[in-house]
Amino acid sequence: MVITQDLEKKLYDYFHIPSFRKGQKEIIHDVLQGKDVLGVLPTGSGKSICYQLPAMLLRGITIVVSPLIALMIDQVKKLKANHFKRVVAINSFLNYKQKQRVYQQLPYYKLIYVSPEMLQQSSFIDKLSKLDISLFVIDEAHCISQWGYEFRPDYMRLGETIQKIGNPPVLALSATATEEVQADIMQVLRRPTMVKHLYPIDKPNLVFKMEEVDTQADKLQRIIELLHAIDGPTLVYFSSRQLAESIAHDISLRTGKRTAAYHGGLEQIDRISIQQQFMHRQLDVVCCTSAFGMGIDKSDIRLIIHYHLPSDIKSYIQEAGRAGRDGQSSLCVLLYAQHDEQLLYQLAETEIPADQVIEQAICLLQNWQMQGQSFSRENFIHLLDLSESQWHFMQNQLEKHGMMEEGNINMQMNRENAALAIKRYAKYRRDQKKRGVQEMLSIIHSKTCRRKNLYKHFQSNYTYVDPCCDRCGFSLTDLNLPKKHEVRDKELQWEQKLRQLLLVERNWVK
Amino acid sequence: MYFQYAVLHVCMHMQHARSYAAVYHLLQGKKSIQTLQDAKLFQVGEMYGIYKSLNMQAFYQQLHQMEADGFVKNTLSDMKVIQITEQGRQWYQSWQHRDFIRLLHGIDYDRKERIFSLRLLLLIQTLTNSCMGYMSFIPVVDDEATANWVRNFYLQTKNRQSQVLAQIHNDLLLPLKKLPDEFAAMFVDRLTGYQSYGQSIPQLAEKYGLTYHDVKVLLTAITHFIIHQLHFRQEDFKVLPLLLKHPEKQHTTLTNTANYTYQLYNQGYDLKEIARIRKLKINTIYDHIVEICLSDPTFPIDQFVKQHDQQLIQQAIAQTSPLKLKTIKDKIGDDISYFQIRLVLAKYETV
Ligand SMILES: Nc1ncnc2c1ncn2[C@@H]1O[C@H](COP(=O)(O)OP(=O)(O)OP(=O)(O)O)[C@@H](O)[C@H]1O
Ligand SMILES: [Mg+2]
Ligand SMILES: [Zn+2]
Repeated sequence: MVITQDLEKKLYDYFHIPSFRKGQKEIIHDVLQGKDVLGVLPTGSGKSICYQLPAMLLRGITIVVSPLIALMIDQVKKLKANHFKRVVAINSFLNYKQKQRVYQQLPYYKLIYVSPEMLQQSSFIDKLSKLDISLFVIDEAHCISQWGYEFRPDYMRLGETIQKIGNPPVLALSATATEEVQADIMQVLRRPTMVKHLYPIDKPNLVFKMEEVDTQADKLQRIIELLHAIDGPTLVYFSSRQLAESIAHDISLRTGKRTAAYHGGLEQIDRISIQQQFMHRQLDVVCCTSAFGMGIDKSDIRLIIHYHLPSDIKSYIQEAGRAGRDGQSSLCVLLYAQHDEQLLYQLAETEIPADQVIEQAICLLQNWQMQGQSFSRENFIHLLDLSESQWHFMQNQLEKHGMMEEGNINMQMNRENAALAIKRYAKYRRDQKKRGVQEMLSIIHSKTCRRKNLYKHFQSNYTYVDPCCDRCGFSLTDLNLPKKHEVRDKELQWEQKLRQLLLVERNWVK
Repeated sequence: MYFQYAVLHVCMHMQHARSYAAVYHLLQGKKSIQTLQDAKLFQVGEMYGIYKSLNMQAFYQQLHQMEADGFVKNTLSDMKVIQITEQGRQWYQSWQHRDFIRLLHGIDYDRKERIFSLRLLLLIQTLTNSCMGYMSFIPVVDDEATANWVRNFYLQTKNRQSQVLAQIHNDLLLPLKKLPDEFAAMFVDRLTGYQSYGQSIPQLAEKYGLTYHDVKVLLTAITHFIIHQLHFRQEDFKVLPLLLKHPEKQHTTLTNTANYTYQLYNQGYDLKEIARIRKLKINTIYDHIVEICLSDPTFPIDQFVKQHDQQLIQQAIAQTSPLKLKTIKDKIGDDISYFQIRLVLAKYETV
């Protein structure tokens, strides 16, 4: 048992962080006592530490379920970069051989990140159940709830999973969990008596501004003005890859700021490069889709602009939450032109397969099974012309209804009923997405305080701050942001650049 | 226009004889006998696999644009047999940068190119950071095989890193100086060092006024050129040739005899029939099938080994180390043949 007084020292030893932030110590204290804990802390407040430190201190293994593979890999990289090696991320990206290697070493690890879909595999659960597990963590726990941001059906069976692996203590963490969502979390995890550590998630240093503009061209104009007014790292969110790219081009032309686009269409190396260029101040502005966000942990982002309407309030809070993680004032501007919501309605349609596609999918599987063909993901996606998210939807649903098990087709059961259920669920998801958009719209059109409207679903009260938002009389000049004058290195000839990069110059001096 | 030029180059050679799909498969490096044969038959081996991540939609999009620009015809019809316009031909023969095509050596360096670039990127990032005493960097390449190779190399050269970097510098300078400045600059911009991350493909496209596809093709061309120099003037280089050593298993092309078996197999003969037609022992045909499976990761083996048996074999493999066929077979029993075990090994155990 670790004495709580020592916690600060441990924090420093392992992470070189001198003191805890609000909520961390309280949560860690209870976790180390073996209590079940539900923690709600704002974005960027340091939720990861709440399980990473216990993972190092507890006797057995800590398992962390995390919804985004990218996020998982990022955290593992960071820990490894900090010389903590007994950590691993297990997800469906690992190939057979890599998985076997990891499986053989499971007891060696202290901290194991797993993707929710891995927990659906009974062979994997068997392996976990043989381990000494001290803590089971659900990061981004709002994904458990249908009412939460980014609902993940995979999360719904977590309660069962936890039981199967020997009922270890549970820690659930989120930045966007309404009361309704909290209740869902406890119910799904089958822990009605979790100790709640709830902290207000509104960040007093964020200032909100929502502007209605007439045309799309006006948006670009506003972005340029904002970028001239505010110095500092900036994210501009889009719901379309092409626009992210073309506006990135316009921004760099018209402001001279170093700007690049980031979206799911980039190759892996480029994703890492853009992210790290931004972290290392090689870039001023990143035009991104929501693929950039969760997991981005840069402390000094000063400005977040939404070119498109975010898909719902929780996404907006998550995305705006990238700003001001250092506690300094930061501005979040949402640009809205009439009919912007149409794009989101269309997206909702393309993200979830139409009824016809669902029927075709089931026919196809039926045929494959009859012809004794094995399941081919590529052909499935190609023949049905599925988008990535439609594929995920189908995969989840097929597995949920037992038509596919670990990649094998299994169609013996009543497929008519299953088809109906899947179609019903598809409609439900589409409607849910539309409701999300409407909620967001109602905030834009509301005449009252943005902060109040944004956070009222999450907490009963919110901190009064000044400056607050455009409805509370904020104007850009109120924002007191330091102007930095960075001297930029001038572009070198490639030969010089190569010398400098390979540190040849340095050797010369020596 | 580099990408368009590459497409047109292949089109010129396959004109009237093939469809545009064949051009796509060639550029994308499809591992089929048909495509490999096309590469030889039409003498466009240097273009094989120069753009692996090219997707079909993007290819046709570009092709339609080329038709709109008056270079090719027939891209929208059903047959899509390659046809080049007079304007296309003229541009092909006179475009000022057409020489770049000579940098490409697709069929020779098909797999080497990827391994070499990944290793080079990660090695430079690792050595420069380590020289600056900073080991907490986020690696740009997160491919495990590459990471292992770099780790080994790093350990072996631990106490002479700055010399190694200086040697890499010299090694790179030699071939880069022979290229147009713009190509060399682009290559250098892509590299990641200490606290300085390389440019993404779209960033390079923006900076050099090219398209995404142009940059992809050019970077491959530059890398092929560097590898080519390493091969032919080995004595001039110190470190870079090591990056080509101990590659992951390579099976780009099949032996002729396996190739022939593959053709018969694709025509629908079963293995016994093939043995009879070719007057070879069945075990030899088994060898060919294993070779085919090694060279083509998408080659389906379900008709030789039932899914269930594949799982059994995989389990046995997982429990066996070192991997000896006999040990594996002893674990499973008589129902499963050596051929089946070798197939499963070939299918799942290649890195
Ligand atoms: N006590 C602390 N003092 C200083 N920095 C801290 C402390 N705790 C965490 N941090 C830093 O704060 C940053 C954000 O932490 P983390 O990514 O865990 O946030 P989060 O709450 O999970 O955010 P999100 O909701 O966006 O996932 C990290 O860089 C972390 O190192
Ligand atoms: Mg987090
Ligand atoms: Zn307000």
